[in-house]
Amino acid sequence: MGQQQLLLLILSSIVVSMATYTGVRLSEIHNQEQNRDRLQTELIHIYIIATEYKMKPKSFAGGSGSYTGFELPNAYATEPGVSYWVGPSDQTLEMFASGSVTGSDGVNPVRVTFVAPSGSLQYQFAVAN
Amino acid sequence: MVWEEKQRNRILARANLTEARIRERNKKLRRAIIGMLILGGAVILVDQATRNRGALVPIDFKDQAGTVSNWQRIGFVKSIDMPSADVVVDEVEWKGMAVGERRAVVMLLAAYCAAQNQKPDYRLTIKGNVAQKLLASVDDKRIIVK
Repeated sequence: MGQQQLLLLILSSIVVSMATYTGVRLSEIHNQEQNRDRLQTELIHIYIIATEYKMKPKSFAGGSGSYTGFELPNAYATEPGVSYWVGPSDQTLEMFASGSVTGSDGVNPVRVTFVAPSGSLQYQFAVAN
Repeated sequence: MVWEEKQRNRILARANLTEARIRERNKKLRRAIIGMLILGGAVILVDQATRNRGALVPIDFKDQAGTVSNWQRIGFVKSIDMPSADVVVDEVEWKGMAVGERRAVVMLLAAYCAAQNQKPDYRLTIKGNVAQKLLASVDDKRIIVK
């Protein structure tokens, strides 16, 4: 093999390695973002269910103006690969979701937190990994 | 004889030219390889430098007691006063955490303290171990995370 062919081979190997590295990183980031988005959507669904529960009177298995007593719906509790935690307080609702894709630290799964403060229908998300 | 000499010289000149071209091309290729290596190294360095550090402490909401004792073992949680739900944490580690992770820590500690105290509402105060500054608080109305 001539010197020129060898140099071309080295150059193409470097280019291919760089492209592979970039592709893997981009797909990793994309997967994490997609999983976080999915968790956020699911948390909004749970929030809607929790708000329904809060608005219902106690005679209709509701909270009569309080989140206290709200439990995670069965469909979410048994979802494979994903885990949710709901912390209902009297007027605030805290939720935590852990996804199925490895997060930014490269060890633990992606995590999202959700807080619905009292007296407002606005909620806040924060990425925890 | 003269014609043959001319022909030989012409061939030699062409060979020299081709050799010089090959040398020049190899030089360009070597430069391109070095350039690509530098570029690749820079890409990896920038990627590593700008990469999100992610979670600093392990969190498992299904095993809250285990998670809290693990935090105590690794030194993140310095002390817990269970009846008043006052927790002292490592301030340096707290500052290194993303807002989301701080919130997750607050949620887990609030849930853990509520379960231990057998109270339905979450109440919690988190202070730093250095300046004893208030880092987070939870009551039935709001959650403050600094």
